[in-house]
Amino acid sequence: MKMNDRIPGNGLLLAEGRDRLVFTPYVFRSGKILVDGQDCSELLGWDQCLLFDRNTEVRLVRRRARNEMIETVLTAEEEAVMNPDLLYTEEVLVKPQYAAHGGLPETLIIVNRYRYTENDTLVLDDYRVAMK
Amino acid sequence: MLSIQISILGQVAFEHTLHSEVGCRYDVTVDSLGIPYIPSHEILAAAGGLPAGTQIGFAHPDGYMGQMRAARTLKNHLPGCSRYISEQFLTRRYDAGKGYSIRALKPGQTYTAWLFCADTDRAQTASALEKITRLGIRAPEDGISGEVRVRLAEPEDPVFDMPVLHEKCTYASLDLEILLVSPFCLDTPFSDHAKTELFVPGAVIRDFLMKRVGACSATDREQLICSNAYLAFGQERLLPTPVCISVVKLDREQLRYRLAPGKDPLLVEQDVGLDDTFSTGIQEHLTRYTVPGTGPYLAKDGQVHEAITEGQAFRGTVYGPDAAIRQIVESVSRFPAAQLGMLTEEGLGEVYFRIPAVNEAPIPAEQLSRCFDVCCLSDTLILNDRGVPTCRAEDLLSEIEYVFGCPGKLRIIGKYTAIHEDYSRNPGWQEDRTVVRCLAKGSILRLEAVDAPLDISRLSHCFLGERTEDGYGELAAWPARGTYYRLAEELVQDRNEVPMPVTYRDSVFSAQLTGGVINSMIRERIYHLGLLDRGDLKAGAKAQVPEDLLRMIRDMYSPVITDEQLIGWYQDGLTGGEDHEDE
Repeated sequence: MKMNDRIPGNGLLLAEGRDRLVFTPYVFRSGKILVDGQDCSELLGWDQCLLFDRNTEVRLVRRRARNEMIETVLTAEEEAVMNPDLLYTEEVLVKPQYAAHGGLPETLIIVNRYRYTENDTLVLDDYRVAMK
Repeated sequence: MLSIQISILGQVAFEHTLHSEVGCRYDVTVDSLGIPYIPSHEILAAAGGLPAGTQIGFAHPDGYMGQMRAARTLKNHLPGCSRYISEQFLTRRYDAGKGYSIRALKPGQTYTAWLFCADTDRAQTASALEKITRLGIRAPEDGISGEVRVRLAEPEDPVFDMPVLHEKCTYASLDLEILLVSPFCLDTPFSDHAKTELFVPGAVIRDFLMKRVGACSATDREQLICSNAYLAFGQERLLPTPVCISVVKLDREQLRYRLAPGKDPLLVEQDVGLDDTFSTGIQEHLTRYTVPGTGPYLAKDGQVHEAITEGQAFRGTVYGPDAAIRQIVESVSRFPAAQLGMLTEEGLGEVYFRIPAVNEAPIPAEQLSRCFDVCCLSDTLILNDRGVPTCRAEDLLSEIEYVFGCPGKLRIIGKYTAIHEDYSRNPGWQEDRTVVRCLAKGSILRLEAVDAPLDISRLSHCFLGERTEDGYGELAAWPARGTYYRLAEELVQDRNEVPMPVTYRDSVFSAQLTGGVINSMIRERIYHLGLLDRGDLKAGAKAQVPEDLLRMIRDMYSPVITDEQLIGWYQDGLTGGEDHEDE
């Protein structure tokens, strides 16, 4: 399945570039990321871009060391079949400068996914950012 | 960049602050060496009508670079001389009636501060500054008039030996030395705002240099890599050293022996090196290390920050294409002064850049090794295949294998790693960026090639992983060696030799300060010698000046003092003071 098919239609976008950080609601329509009606699809090519809603997070990360773009999709459905002892959900506050401005929420949900290594050490394997 | 010259016409003092001496009602702030300065906010508060965006640095005494060098040397050789250093600039008196002391700047001195403003605002700035007639508090009853004369001037550039570039060379890197003229502060976010980074991060240097190489092509600028600038010790860059000793419990049989009567219970553990051999006598192998000196800084908003104190040098390397390197050298040669870090608007982060060397790319030489060590010289950020930062040694190994193009051909046979949670800010937008977990600087891996020996020259010094342009992922590799020891005995930072950029004028001030401090110290000692003999004098004993003793003290510390001065100081002690007045 193509990455475009997995991007949530409405959600929040968190993009980090060399010179700027963008955190804003977006709409995904006709293969374009629209922010306030403007096409902002170039954000997908930044160092890191997270597009998420309640159930799905699409993560695009530029790995400069290998000159490649890593595309990852994380869903709540995956967590339903995971060992619940290895999941830790926390609600984090959004920084005051962003919170409750321009359609942004005051809190976000982070679902941490842990695993045991071959040495039986508990490590953070991955995490999913979600809207509350 | 311009400078402000402040001539002190009357005694100048300021309200009590965090840095004030205990018991002082009015005081002047002094730096970590005991040399006073006028905080920039005091100048800004006194100047009305300065154009918006004008930045002013701390105002230091004339010849500050030379005085700083002299003060460091004095503090190194004469512990406890800070008071005497301050006394060269300050007058101090105690008012018994009011119950407090006052320290104020002596009249007749000149102080100089940097000033950053737009060229178009120069006339307005000069006019606003010339209107300043007083600084600090006004307390005529205490003799503090605060009278000054202020004018705008061209800065006196420090004398640095900048490298001469050859047209036919293709340069690939330059060594950069950063000398702190005022405290440097870089708070780590999420800390309690009282912790600063103890080095100058590559991201901060790169952000600054990007503005200096504006004429280069975008491609050239993007290729700039700035390593972290660590504390310089002489001509050396002090690198983070790996911890390579682990403590293991002895087995049961040995434990029983160790705990037997008469044995030291502390010896139930033993140290093991990276090559899994027992090591003894670790204490004998400890090497001294130096950490930068830090101190508190009270910001205008009342927040206390930690800052690296002035007078220390940091050293790093900048890698990039020839055009960018040439432009940096040219730019730094013309304007060696800059402001880095936080609170620059309050005068912090004033630095001088120096370029000790410009280098061409090294000629690669094959270095075959089957077993070698890889050490992280800076925090190393590795992303796993899901794009998540990872701090496992195995992930660094797979990154190294990727560089060598030999997946699965290396294995870890020893490691000492630590995790660093990176909360660094992006210097570009001055905001926190994504928090990542890195392999901490000082982590070390011992790797072994499964099959044939590998050429490790590519890894001997390189950058690996993410954010390498900001100095992350700086690695060094070398064939495996016996045991490493953490550098574990702290060296006093005043002993750290720092090359100060001094002009001829600075040298004169340097000598003047040294002579003044030593004379003050001798004078006080001889005065007290006279004070001790005063009892004999009052008892009617025949007083005799101990000329031989005085000359011995003189010859030991300052041969330029005359006999008349020596005897005068002694007689002051012998006859001066309250007892003398009573008589």
